[in-house]
Amino acid sequence: MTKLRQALAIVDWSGWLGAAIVVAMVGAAVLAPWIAPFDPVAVNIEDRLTAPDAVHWLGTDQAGRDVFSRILFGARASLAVGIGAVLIGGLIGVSAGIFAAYKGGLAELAVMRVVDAVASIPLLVWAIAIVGVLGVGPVQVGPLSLPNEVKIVVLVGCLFSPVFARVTHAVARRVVSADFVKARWLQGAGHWAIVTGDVLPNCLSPIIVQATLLVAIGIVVEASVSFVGLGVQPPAASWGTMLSDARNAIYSGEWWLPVFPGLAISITVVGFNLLGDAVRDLFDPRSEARTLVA
Amino acid sequence: MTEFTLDRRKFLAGGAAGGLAALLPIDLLHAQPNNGKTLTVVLPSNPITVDPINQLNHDAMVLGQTVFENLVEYDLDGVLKPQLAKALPTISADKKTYVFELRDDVTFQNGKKMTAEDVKYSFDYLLDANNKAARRSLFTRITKVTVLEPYKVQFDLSEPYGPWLYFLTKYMGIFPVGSRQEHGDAYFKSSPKGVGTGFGIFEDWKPNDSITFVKNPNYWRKGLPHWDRLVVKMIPEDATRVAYLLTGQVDVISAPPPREFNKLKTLPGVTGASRPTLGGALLMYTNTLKPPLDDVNFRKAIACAIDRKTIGDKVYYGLLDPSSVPAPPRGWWFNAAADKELGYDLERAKAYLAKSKYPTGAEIDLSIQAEPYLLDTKDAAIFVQAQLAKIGIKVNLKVYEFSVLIQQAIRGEHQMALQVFMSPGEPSYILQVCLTPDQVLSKSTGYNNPELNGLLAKAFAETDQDKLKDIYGAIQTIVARDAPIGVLGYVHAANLWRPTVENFKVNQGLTISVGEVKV
Amino acid sequence: MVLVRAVAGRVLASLGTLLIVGLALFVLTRSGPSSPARIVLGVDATVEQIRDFERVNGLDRSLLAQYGDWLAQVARGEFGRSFVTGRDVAAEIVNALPVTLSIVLTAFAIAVVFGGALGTAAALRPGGVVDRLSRFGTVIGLSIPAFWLSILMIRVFAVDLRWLPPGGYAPLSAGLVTHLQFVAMPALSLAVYYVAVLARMTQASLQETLRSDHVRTARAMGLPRRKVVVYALVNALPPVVNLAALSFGYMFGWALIIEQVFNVPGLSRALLNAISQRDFLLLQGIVFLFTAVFILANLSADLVNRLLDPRQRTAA
Repeated sequence: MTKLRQALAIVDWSGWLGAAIVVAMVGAAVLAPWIAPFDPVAVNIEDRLTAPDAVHWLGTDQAGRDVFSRILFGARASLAVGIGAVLIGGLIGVSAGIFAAYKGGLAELAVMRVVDAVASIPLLVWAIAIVGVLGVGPVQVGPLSLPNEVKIVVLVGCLFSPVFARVTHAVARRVVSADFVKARWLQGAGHWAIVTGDVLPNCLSPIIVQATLLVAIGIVVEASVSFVGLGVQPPAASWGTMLSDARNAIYSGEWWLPVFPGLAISITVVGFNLLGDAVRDLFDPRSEARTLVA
Repeated sequence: MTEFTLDRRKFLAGGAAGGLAALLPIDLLHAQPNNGKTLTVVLPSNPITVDPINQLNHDAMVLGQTVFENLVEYDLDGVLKPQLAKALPTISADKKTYVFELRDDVTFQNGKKMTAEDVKYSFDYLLDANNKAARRSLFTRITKVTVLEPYKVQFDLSEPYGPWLYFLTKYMGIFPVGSRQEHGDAYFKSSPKGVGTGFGIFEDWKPNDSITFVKNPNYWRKGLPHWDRLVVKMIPEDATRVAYLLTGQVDVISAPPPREFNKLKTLPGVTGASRPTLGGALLMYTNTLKPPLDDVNFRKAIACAIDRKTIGDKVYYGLLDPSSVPAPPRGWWFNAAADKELGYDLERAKAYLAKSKYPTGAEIDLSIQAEPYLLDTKDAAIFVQAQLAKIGIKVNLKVYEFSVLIQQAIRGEHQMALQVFMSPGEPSYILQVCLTPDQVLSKSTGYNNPELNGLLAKAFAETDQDKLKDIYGAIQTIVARDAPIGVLGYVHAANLWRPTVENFKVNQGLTISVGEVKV
Repeated sequence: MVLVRAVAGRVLASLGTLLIVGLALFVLTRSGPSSPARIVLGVDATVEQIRDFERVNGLDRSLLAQYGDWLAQVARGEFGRSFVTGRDVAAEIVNALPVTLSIVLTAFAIAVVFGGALGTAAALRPGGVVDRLSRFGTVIGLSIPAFWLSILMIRVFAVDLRWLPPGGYAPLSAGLVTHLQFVAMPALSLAVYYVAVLARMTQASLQETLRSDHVRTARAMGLPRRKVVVYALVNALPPVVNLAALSFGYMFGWALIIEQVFNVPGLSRALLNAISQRDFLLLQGIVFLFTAVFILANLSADLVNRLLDPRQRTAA
């Protein structure tokens, strides 16, 4: 416990700011139905395009919908895609990385080649192209009708997986060949016990660092794809679609329409980036040079 | 709010004072020189083809109508006039034979004289199923085209069918004998140089950017066109389209965003006008074969729950004329009584719902189109969703691309689908295509009523407008009784142009008309 | 010799990757819910018409056979003729590519120059004003979505100040100044993220080198400061160059969104049109091109690493 306290002491104010932003945004997303002052899709033609005031804190859009409520609900779409994609990518990537390191030989080579292939797919172009080809309609899974974003979550998740696979693979290889693991083998520990007891815990810190930074990228990807009309579909709110709808306002002057959704994205992404930096400094201070780019 | 309205006005007025060019640094304006003889018009969508017999997009028809012409033309006001024919055709007593006298002073852009042989060739080509013309189905009632004299041609129809003349302007053109075999379809699609009789000769197609035409020096209507070059630019973004006009980079734009249109058209440096189209309907296909839409009272409840006037005035800023029947309020065949029957009345809507099999309401899917065409239907859909919620009908909006949406409607896989449907602007097209069996969109409604079918056949054989008014009026009464299709209204065609452009008129048929425009 | 073999191996591996990814792309473009026939033939087309269309255009053959044909074409530098528009796909790409390339190259130059300079300045005085500003600024730069920045820039520089055009494009042939006026805002908004990325990397790498034993030794031996810095810079270069090469690949992707905001007739417009018109061949051509550029960027990042980093050179 004291060790944790010592470790946390080195986190500077920016890390705490990041954590605070992330907690606030996740809170807003989860609690949106209870804290939003208005229904995010309720049309009120009489009140359209009103500037921010005491009733509509961030103004209303061209259909008279409350911008603040839409931003709160938009946080759900953004975080769902960002976090969902990271979970999927993490699941695939970590399994692949551990499998490769554990099996070795030809299996390892094959898996890591596939990882290389997936890593050489440009994320955004493919996201746009694939959603474009499959269409923006809902996905039918049995009786369930899932929204279009599910495609983006799965797709971005798959394209995130190489990052996790490589990190996990590098660590897992060291662990698997380490003496203490060999000793555990001799003691008769099972495969599963070794993976969950020795391999995974050692990979955890770099995985968490990557995951935090990838959530930020996922959020921007969701906003971008929605911005070109291929993401979240109306009337549901998303920061990207709100910005896309706001483009006419550049000329006509309703400044609140383009400003607030953009701020929401930026602040959230700043939050995850600061948190990611802090987590990295905490777990792995020497890996500063490993910057994630998208 | 007030402060920003002022701010906006100041910005726009500033633009006007600076000759509307103030948005741009001076040297940028000279980057795209306008030597006074180039007319630049803007389309909101990217065309696929210039070929009229395969044209699907009404905006893009400006391309085909620049190159190709027809026997008769449906002019800006929706009046049928002779074009390559000397006069309107003489029609036999049984309404099955049409004879056209052709002009003898028309040459194709390649120098050949246009004769009756070319007319026969063009129609034979269109009608040959092997050539897969997308618009063939409109003309299949033509059984034979006969050359009577070098400048006289006869059309035989299998049954009386008056509307075909109205479809010529948009879906057909006359090209020289042998030209299809000589050049191939791709040529007509993307570089039809010299194969039309129109006022502009195709010059170049820069994909995703612009298509250019040069003046046809030997055009048969002497003195036309007034420009030397026509540039048709493609700018999909609403805001950018307006910016290009304000900065003087283009002369005429179509489909201005409704919200901006009313503000912009009153500016000193911009001229704008709109006019109701007779054929552009905002339709809500209701699949009468799928519950809960299988119940007539349920459908009528929906029809009466929609406040079309608010949609027209507030959502589309006056660019939609409310109508609840498939007839434009300004068309001569509009039946006001039928319209009132399905008009907005919340109490009646509730009463109909109570009478239906679903008295407590229901949940229903409404398919809408992702990309705007003429109007962004998503705006209306969100409003309709809110309105139907008031009588207990929960609407789920499902967004699809045009190609997917139209396929759903063709196969009848949807429950409700909202779309702007552009027709040639005569009374029969929408009725026939959507409400009678064995048509492309028959399954969009699943409706089949022998009484309506019989009335429509009677209309095809009739040419007297007064009698036609009665027949189409009766059809609308049936539609008001059965509510087989949802109608929200008829759209306006709107354009904005610069004051340097003269003689520009908005076309009730939507497509920008550039033949007589002066720069 | 070892190096040549390693390089050849990497190039071959990249080619193989491109082939596999190309196949994936091919399968995906064929799996959409609606046939291009519907777009071309229109609402009124019959089932037979559609079947005919698919036969004529080879859409009814096996996927592998179609892919083989397509690859053979691509190897000859052809991308086929679009069955939707009837135009040559390669020509269409060649038409739009210079526009996108011009924006990406300008953005890349901005990113490298400013990112490098900022990172170096910050690294030379740890804890100084530049360092602190750069730490703050780069987090902001990493977090502002480029397309939002574009919107704000249009409002400020085109609408309010009227310094720059609100969108559109003028080719270099219209004059350098005019060209740059149109390219400035798209390139700048695209570059901001990469300025931040490269600045962080330069700073981190340079600081590590400056802390390293041999630099300390060189200092201790009394080498002039300027010489030490130059030496450190050269040694700090490999990861920065590596990241810059990767960034170049990524920039093409984000340029899609930026082009959309500024209504630039580049590859983005071509791609989005291809999507809405179900123009498989064009879509495939463009995405294949982007993927090839991306893989090439990865490859050169890798190779540059091997060439610049003596440890890797001997290890290979």
